[in-house]
Amino acid sequence: MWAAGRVPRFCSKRSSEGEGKGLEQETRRSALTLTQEEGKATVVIDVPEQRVNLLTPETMLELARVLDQLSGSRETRCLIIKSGKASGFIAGADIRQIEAIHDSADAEAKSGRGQEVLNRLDDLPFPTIAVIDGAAMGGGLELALACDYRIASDNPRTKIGLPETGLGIIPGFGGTYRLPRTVGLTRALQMILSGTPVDGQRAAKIGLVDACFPAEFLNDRIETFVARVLDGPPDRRLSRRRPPLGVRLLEGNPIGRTLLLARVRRETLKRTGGHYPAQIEALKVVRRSIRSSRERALRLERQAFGRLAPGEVSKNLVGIFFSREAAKRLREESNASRPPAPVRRSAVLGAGVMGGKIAWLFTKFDVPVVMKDIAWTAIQKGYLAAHEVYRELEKRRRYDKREVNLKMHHLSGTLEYSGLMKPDVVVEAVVEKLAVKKQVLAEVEAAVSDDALIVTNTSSLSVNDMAESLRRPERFAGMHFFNPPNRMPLVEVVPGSKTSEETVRRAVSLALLLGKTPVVVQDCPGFLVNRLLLPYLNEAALMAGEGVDYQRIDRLIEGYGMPMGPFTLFDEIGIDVAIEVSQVLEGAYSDHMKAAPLFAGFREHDDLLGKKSSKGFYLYEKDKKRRPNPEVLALLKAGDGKPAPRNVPDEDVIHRPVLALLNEAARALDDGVVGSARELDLALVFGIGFPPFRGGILRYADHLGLANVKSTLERYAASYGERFRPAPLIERLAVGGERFSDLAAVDGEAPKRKTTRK
Amino acid sequence: MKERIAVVEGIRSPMAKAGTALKETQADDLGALVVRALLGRAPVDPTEVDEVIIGNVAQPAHAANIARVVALKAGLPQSVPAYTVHRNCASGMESITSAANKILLGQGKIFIAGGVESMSNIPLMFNREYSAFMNRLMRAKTPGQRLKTLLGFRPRMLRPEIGLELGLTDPISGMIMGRTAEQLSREFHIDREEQDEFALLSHRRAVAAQKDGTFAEEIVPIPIYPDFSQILELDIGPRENQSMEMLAKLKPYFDRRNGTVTVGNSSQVTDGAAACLLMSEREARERQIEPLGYLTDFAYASLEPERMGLGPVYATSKLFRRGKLAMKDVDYVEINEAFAAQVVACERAFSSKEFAQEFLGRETKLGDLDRDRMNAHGGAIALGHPVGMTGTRLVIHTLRELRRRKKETGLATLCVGGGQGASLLLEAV
Repeated sequence: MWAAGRVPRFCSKRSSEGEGKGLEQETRRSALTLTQEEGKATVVIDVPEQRVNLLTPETMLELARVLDQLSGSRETRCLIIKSGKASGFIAGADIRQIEAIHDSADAEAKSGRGQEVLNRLDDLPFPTIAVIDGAAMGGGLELALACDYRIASDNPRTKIGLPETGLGIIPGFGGTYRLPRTVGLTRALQMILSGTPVDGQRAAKIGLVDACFPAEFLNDRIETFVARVLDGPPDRRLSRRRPPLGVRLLEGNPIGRTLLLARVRRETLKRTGGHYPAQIEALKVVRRSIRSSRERALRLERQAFGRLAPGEVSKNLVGIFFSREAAKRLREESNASRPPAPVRRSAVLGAGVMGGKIAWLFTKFDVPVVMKDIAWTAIQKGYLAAHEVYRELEKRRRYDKREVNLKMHHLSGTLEYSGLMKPDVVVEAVVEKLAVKKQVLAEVEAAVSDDALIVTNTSSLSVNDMAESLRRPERFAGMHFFNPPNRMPLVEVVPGSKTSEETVRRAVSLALLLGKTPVVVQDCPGFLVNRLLLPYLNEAALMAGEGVDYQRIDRLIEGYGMPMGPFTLFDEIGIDVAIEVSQVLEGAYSDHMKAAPLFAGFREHDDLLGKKSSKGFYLYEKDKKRRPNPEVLALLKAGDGKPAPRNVPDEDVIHRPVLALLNEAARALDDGVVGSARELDLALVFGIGFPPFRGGILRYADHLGLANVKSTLERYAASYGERFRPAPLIERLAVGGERFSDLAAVDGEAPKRKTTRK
Repeated sequence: MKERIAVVEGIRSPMAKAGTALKETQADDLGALVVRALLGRAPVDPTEVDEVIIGNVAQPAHAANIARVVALKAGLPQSVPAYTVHRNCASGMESITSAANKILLGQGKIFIAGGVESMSNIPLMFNREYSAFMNRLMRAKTPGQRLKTLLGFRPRMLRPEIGLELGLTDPISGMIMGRTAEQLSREFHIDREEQDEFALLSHRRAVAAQKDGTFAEEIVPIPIYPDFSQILELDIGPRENQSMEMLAKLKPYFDRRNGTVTVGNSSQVTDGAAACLLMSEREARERQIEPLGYLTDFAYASLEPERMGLGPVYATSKLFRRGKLAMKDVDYVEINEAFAAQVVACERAFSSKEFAQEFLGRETKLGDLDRDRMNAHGGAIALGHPVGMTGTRLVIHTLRELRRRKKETGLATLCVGGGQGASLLLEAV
């Protein structure tokens, strides 16, 4: 019964008869069930023992058999394809299969087999109709595109799209051929290049589906629709919405198409920095196949798929995809047995910009939040910070006025702990001063119930030190939200030595509830991400001190794929903050994190704070392009007795900071700060925007080869300083000819503790 | 009443003169901010609330049954019903007494009652002629018909009807409220100077209370819409530099030639919201809650619409008769200052045996209002009068002042446009 979960509840009429009969008995273990009734054939897809339908090779093979059976049948007048799962239509191809592709020929063959089956579907002599209720992604949409008609439900879970480019590949089952012919060139490119799915209503509007029906009436409406199809002229399809005149004019002639493609290409190159070949390949395939025959178009698609699927970038992106899924699964698995306490109400202590934006996160997910501070003027700052995010989102049409109004109403303020409204979760976000935090934590513990989760949002203080002030430290943990928390997807969950397993689970669960990717790390100075980021920034600052032009450093590092160069990043986080963090970490890891002397010069210029004071390494003037700050340039020139500027080759300008980061990553991994190489890579991608196409720093090191990395580090140690001495883990792996990816994960959530704070 | 009603907690927003700080905040938003803060201080869970009752006069078109909108925006569960009450200026008291009645009838245990008003947002309306014109235009089918209709346009159609003015005008007597105050000034022979003196007293007291932080415990600061770049912590209304000279300079507003009532000795047109949490005394005791105080009895009375300002005298008379009380039994009084002339008229009527005999059907006077035991921190003349909200504010403030004075019995009373009065008898312990 395909619609078991979706039959309206207050309705005596159950889903229509006939479905699920027929071959049910014999083919229980198969993915497809074919039924025939008065010339109407129905194929129900329900891949056994899977939560969602995936287009595995076996399923495709089964489909091919069913199609053979149908094409020989005389009485069949139409075919309806639907899903037997409440979770959706077809979630796409099996990504494990894509991961397993290692050569082009294999990739081309896989794509070719899929194309061939869908061609057969396309070529059936009678009308075919795909019914999309829930997700139809990737191969799922490609299958639906090979049908004559598509029907979507208006179920909010209905998402239709081609997300392949996000995994470094292109659609391989004819999507690049059929989508532009269905929705037009502009829309097709937009869907393929961004990977963003559309919902049922939108799909109907752009002509991706022929109709969008209310989910509850889907069965009834399909019956009517099928009747109309069968009554209509046999060789003509029912009329479809014509694209708007402007689109027809632009796409209908070669000049317009050329202009369009050139513009999209320019934008794509700008957005991807040329690091993501899938987007470029997709564009190329669509451009070359737009006017060609099906055979040629599919060949082009197949070949491009063959080039991309075995590639490094695709493997890296797929790796990150799986790491992220694993982080989510952590919750799902443990929640299945014991769901965590619900978060009905929350409180944020300290309503500064950070507090306000964390409060915003709660409001976004409709959890009421009380901001506690010591003055109403401070609470106003929290309101303002939250509202600024909404104002931006309203401008981008993500929310309308009504929604913003309602969400802002989730916020309230109080000066008294008694006004916290019995929160289930308290996030402490007061100033980064241990004494203040300890006092506030002790005070709040007395004011909330014993089972409330208390977390501290700190980036530099020790969770264990703070835990001392609590009566029940087992319900306390660190949760480091990255700034700005409305945009940064990473949260470091930091258990202290007394934190209970249950609390870690609840903190991870909270991060996921707030739409974040959690990584559990140990309580060491800088936790994971800042501990790794600092040597990288420090190395950049050292190079600038040696006389390397910092604009060049920024440019080269951005070319490497980082979202911004180190000096732009200094200006973003605030130079004063960076100096403070560098001192804390120098204190903790003195041997290899000695703060760059460059910072000493900055201390005398207390107005050089970065973006917040409109000047740092760059000048930020209104309505002007940013330019380097002459003050800093002078500062860098000044110091007499300095050695002459060193000539550092491009290769080293990139690799000195990157390998400094890698070296520290190896130490942190060795220390057990994080459970696995995979989580470490995930944390860097989501925490500092380490280029996803590189898959993370450790994956990048594997790519370079650890022997190679080791010798480069040794060379750097000789010419730039002992801080580059290869970390013991790198030595070990390099000698053994191993890679980071060969390391076994330290058992899930709770890595062993080796480091303690000094 | 068979049992006292506990006022567990009560708070209000700052009050802002219409067109100033709260002008972008709609009445439902203002109410929701206050009710959410009330829930924050209340010793009960939102799910335990049985109903929300909100008084509101202007009833904005975008939020029909504003109480429900307030309740949901404030974070009360969807399962908590809500309704709006309207007894003109007494709406903020009607919500409390409606809740009290329901509690006494056993139709619920825990209620939120309050009042909200955004006088900044009372709309200007198209007049009937223009509405008819638009109607014709929409019905016109052919271009010819449309043109003909358009030619029927007259500039006078654009003259708006001012919602605020209509709301403040009594349709029976045809008098705007200020006119009824003029009527009382004549009837009781209250000259301009006497009115201005009372107005000055109101400002002085309000300014002093602002300075010593008296209002801080009842006010929940309100972030300023639309961009939240400020937060309002105090009432905008009390004028520190107010003087007799300045008051004397103002022209009579309602009767330009012979009048005495000016904007200086009238209440201010204002935005604000207030709310309180109510339950029976027994319920409070069982929950071991110490409430702000109790509502022990109340009365509404009515009289000629032209003399609506005397409403407090009529309502208090009814209340006292039932409870066999006199003014000497009351420790503290909050009387709404709709107009200085109206308050002074009430003072005289309370103190007058003749008035009592002629109009109230009683032998003795009700008793003197003593200015030392009344409106200790100023009233609507200095603080403002958001019509639907004031009733709730008077109750909250009376109870808080009784506690400060360590006294027992209080009276909150106000006059009601259309010719009514409301009097609530309150106890602190």
